[in-house]
Amino acid sequence: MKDARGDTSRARTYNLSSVPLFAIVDDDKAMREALAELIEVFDFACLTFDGSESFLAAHAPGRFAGLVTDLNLLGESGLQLQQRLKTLDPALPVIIISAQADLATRTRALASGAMAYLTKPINDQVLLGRLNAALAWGRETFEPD
Amino acid sequence: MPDSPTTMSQDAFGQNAFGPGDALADLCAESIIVFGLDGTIRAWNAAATRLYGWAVGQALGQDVDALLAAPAHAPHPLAKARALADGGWSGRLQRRAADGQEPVVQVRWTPRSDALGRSDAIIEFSAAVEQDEAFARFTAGEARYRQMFLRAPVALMRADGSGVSRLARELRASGVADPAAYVEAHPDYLDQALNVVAVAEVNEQAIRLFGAKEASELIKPVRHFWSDSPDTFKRALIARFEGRPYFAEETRMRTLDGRTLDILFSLAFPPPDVFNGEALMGLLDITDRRKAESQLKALQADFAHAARVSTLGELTASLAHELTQPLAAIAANGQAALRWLDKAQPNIARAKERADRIVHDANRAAEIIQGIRGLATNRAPENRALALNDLVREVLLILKHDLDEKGVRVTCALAPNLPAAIGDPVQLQQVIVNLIINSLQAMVQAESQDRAIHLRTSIEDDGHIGFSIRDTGPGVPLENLDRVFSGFFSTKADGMGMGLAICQSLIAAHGGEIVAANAPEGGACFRFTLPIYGGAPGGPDAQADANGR
Repeated sequence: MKDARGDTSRARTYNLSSVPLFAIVDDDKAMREALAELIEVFDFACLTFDGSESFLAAHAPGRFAGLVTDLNLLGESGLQLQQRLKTLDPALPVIIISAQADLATRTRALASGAMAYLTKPINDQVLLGRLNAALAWGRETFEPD
Repeated sequence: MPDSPTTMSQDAFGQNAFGPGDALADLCAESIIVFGLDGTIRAWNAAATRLYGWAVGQALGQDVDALLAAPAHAPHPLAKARALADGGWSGRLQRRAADGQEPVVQVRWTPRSDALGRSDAIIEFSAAVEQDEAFARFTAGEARYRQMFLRAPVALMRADGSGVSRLARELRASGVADPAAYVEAHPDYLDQALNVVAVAEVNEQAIRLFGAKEASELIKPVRHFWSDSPDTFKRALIARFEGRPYFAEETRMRTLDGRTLDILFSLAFPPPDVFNGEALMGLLDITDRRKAESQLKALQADFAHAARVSTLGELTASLAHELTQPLAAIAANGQAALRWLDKAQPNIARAKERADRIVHDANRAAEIIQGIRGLATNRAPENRALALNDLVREVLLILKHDLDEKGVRVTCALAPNLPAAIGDPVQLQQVIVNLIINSLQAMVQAESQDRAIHLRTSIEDDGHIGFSIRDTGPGVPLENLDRVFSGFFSTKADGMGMGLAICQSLIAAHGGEIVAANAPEGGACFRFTLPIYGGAPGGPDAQADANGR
């Protein structure tokens, strides 16, 4: 299966639709690939996108278990994307990653509704924790009746 | 000098033409001479004998100018005509006496009329202007010029090159048509010339310049002085043979105590048909000037470094981000690799892939550091052939993040087959970086909606290549356009204003020119030119562009 950029190598999803699918949005190719690799080693599935536009084109409510996005993106920033998703898909947990470690930026991101704010370099254990939290949150909030 | 007559000559009246009045004439203190319109002396008084030394018998019948005029000081022919026309003439003449002295005399000429009223002679009354005064003035004149030479504020030396003049004549005579080419082809001739040309006279500054105690120490063949730069002597010789009136060159000369000085050497030759072999050398010690120049260059390099560092300060965010990416990717890949290996069924293949990526990202980080390091280093300019298009592409790579972050669109029109220029690539990249950052900041400060920069390289008509950058910012205010390159001019709140001044200085040092203008469609446009290296098109860029980069 190809990811949004036609890159066949990384996005191997499983046929069982119960495997959670995460979306990764980062304009840096190396970072995208490394994050995808981590998510796969955690036994999740993922699709990678180079910007909010390509992600939104592939987005459908309920399709993704969570979004991992870089704060600084070409064009619309990660924060702006998160704002958009608040109305577009409030059930989608958004994890923001960034090199900026300052308190002000972190506070703003979390106050705006992001589920987590992780600074680079990412600690894989912390990331796993957040991904699991995202899954739990999804299950809790939107348990089908 | 006319021969003295053996017989007393007499005029038409048969005697000294004063006639009965000659006793009176002899009492007169002034010299009185009467000469016909043809110049023949007809009368001569005692005072004339005292003044000029000729006895009356020797003077009568002689031509007045032939006898009395100092060589090269004959009275103007019109003077006599004027005497006749105006009824008189007076003036100063330089005369020569029998003993060789050359007194200056004040003369008064009056035409003498015959019985019929026609002028038939000129009566001259003359007296020496104070003889001592004339002589004193003459010797004083000589002394003055001599003092001028000795005390001139610049070192002067008179060279005696009669040996080479003779040699040159002999060469020409033996059929060598082009002595200059001969000199080039015969180093032994040059060697001989260094011994044959000698210093004949020196002034005080020259004595001081070469570390001598007295003039005689410098009166010798010029070989010693040209120990460090025999080629300058060769070129001077060739200039002489080519008939040029002057020769000058910055060179190095050896003093008597073995030091080498930077000298501005100038040489004045006599006219080419005069083979007296004399030439006058003027020497100016520019060692201090050279030292000041290199100190200034070092200072400029320091300023350029400071400007680079401040530009670098502006690039810090870019650098930080550029390095954070590969480092974060390395960390993530490392962690992933460990997890692949930690699984119940270790996935060696995928762990290996991660390790590969780590190496790749580490190399990427190293390249970024190299690029930034190049900008930060304070080193002496290294000139070499450079490909401007490559430099532009590298700068765009380095600044990619800054430009993307601020939403600036970059378009390029880089001329294919752009000839190479010569210069220091790091310095030129610094100029390009500075110009791009300026455009960026202008557009950000003005909060321009549409932010774009257009870069262009081109071949200019006059043997230069050109670089230009146009932006969609507010442009340069008209009143600032002519000040924009002067130091300490800045429109930025925290700007030191050194950037464009440094750019101008660096471009000028490369032999180019930088100008600022406002583009007709709006925005600022900065352009600089660089001389083409070697002149031939199809330089290093041609290969790259042909490969479709």
